[in-house]
Amino acid sequence: MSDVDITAFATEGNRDLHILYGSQSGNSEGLAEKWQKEAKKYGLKPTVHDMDGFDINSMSGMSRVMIVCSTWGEGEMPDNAEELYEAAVGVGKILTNTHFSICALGDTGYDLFCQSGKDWDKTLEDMGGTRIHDRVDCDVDFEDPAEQWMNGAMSKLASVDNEGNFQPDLVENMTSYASGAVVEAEVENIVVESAGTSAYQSMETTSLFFHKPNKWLKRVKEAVDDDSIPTTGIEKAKDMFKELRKITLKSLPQGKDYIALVNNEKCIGCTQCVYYCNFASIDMISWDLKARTSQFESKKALILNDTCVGCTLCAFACPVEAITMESKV
Amino acid sequence: MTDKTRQKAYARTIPHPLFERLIVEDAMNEEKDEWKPERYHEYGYFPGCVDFMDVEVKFTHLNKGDADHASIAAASIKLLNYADIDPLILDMNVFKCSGHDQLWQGNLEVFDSLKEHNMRRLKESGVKIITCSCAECYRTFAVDYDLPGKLGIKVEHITQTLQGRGLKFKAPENVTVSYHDPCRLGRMMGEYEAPRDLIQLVDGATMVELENNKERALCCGVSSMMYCNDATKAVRRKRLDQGTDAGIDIMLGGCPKCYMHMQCMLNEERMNPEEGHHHDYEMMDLMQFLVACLEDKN
Repeated sequence: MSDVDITAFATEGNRDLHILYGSQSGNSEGLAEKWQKEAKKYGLKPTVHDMDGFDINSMSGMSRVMIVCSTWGEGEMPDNAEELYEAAVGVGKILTNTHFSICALGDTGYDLFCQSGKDWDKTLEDMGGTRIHDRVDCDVDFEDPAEQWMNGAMSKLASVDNEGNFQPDLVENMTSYASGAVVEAEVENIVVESAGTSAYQSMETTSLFFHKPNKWLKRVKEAVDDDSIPTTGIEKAKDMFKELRKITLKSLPQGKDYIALVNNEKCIGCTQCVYYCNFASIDMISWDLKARTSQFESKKALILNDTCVGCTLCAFACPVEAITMESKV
Repeated sequence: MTDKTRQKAYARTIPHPLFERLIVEDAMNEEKDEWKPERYHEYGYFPGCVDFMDVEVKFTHLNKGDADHASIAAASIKLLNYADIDPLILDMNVFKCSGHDQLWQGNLEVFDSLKEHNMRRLKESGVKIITCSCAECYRTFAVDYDLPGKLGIKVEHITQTLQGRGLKFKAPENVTVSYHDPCRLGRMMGEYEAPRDLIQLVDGATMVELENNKERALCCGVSSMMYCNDATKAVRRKRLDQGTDAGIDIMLGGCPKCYMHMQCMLNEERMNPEEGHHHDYEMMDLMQFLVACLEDKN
C-alpha cells in the first residue's frame, strides 16, 4: 500500500473526523477546538460535537471518532456527558465500522483518576468499536501528554481509508504529510492562539495551587478504608449537589462567549467563588474603601477577564447571588 | 439610591454555603413514612452534615486532598467499634441536619421542622444514648432539643463516649499536638477534659496547650456558618498563629466546623504564598487523629 499517492489518499473520499468533548470547565472543549484545526493538516474534515444533545445512534455512521473527556468530582462524568454516557451504556454493538481513541483528563490527587475517560474507553469497546490508539490519562498538566496522544491518534485515524479500513502502512507517510502541511496551516494557527480558550493557557498558574494530600490524611484514609464501616449518606449529598448544579446550569447562560460579573453592591467578600474557580480567575480586591458602610465589607470579588471561561461555577457558589453571567459582546 | 434600598443591599444577610442551602431545602421535604431500625441498639451515632461538607469542599478544587470530612464520620464509627460499641447510624438518609446553624441564624421555621423530624425519628429509633462527633449537634441535642428531659435519651459527645474505656493508641511517629476547644463543646457545655484525656492515651503524642485554652480559647472565626470575611479570617489567623508559637505539628479540633474553617484558611495561605502567612502544620479532627493512631488497624 506504500505506493499509494498520500495526497490523494488524504484529500479524497470520506475524510470525516468526529471529535466529541465532555467538558465541565472548558479544558476538554478547548482541546477539541485545538485539534479541530490540527486535523485539517491531515486532510481530515473535523466536526466538534458537544456531548450534550449528541445522538448516540448517529455514531454508528462515523468511521473516525476522537473523544476527550474530563473527570469531575469523585470519578464522575462532566455534566454535559452524563446523559450521553447513560444512553451509550447498553445501546448495543452499533459501532462495527468505527475507529476510536480516547483522551482522558483528570487529576491524580483523586482516588478515581480519569475514571470517566476509562468508562468511555470500555463502553466504546463494548459497543463494538475498534480502539485505534491507546487511551491517554492526563494529569493536571495535561498539555504535553494530550499533544503526544493527539499526534499518535490523529495520524492513525487519518490512515483510515474511504471504506473505513485502517491502513497501518500509511501511518508514517501520513505523519510526514501532516508535518509538510504545517506551512499552509500556519495562518490559521495564529488565529487559534489568539482566540483559543484560555482554559489551558491558565493551567500553568493554577497548578501552583494544587497541594498534595498530607501524610496524616493519607493515614486516616487508609484506616477508614474498610468496607465494614457503613456509609453515612454521602450518596444522598452527592445527588442533591448534582441536582442543584443541574438547576443552575439550566438557568444560566454559559460557555466561552459569556463572562461572570460581580455586583459590588451585593458582594460580601466571602471568597466562596475564589475557592470554586478552577482557573484562578477571581481575585479579591479592595473597593471604594472610603464610602463603605460596614467595616466588615472590605473586599470584593473581581473576575479576571482573560482567564474566565464562563463555566458558571462562581455564580453557582455565590451565597448572595452577586454573580451573574453576561455576554462578552 | 434611596436609603431603603441601600439598607437592603448592605443588610447583614447571612450568606449560605451550598450545603446549607441543600439542608434548608431538605428540611422542607416532609417525610411521614415510619422508620424502624433492624434491631435494638443502645447507642446511636449522629454524624451530622459532614457528608454535605465533604461534597462541598471536594467541589472546590483548591481544598482538594486536604480536607476530608466524610472520614470524620467513618473514623468515629471505627473508634466506637474499637471501644466495643455497636452504634445505630443515624445518618442523613433517615435523619436530617440537627438545625444548629438555622437556630443560631434565627431561621426558626426551618429549625422547628428539622427538630420535629429528628425527634420523631429518635423516638422510632429506640436508642438510649446518642453520641455526636460534632460539638454543635451535641449542644443542640442536649440543650435545644432537650433530649434528656423530653425523650430520656442521654446525649454525649463522642470524646465522652470513648473516655475511660481503656483504649490504647500509638502514634506512627512522634508528634506534638494541641487541642483547639470548640465553643459548643467547651464554653457552652463545659467539656474540656474528655478530649484531652483521649489525647493523653496516644503513645508518642505530646500535648501542648495553646496560649488561649479552655475557658479562654479563641474562636475559629465562623460560628454557626454566620459570616466569613476579613474580620472573621483575622480571628482565625490569630488562632493559627498561636499554634505556630506553640510549635505544634498537628492542631486537633472537636468539631467538624472548626476543622472546615481552619483548613480553609490553611489552604488559602498555601494558595497565596506571596502574602507571607504560613502555618507549617496540619489541622485534623480529633477522631481522624485517633483513627490514624489505632495500633491494630483491623
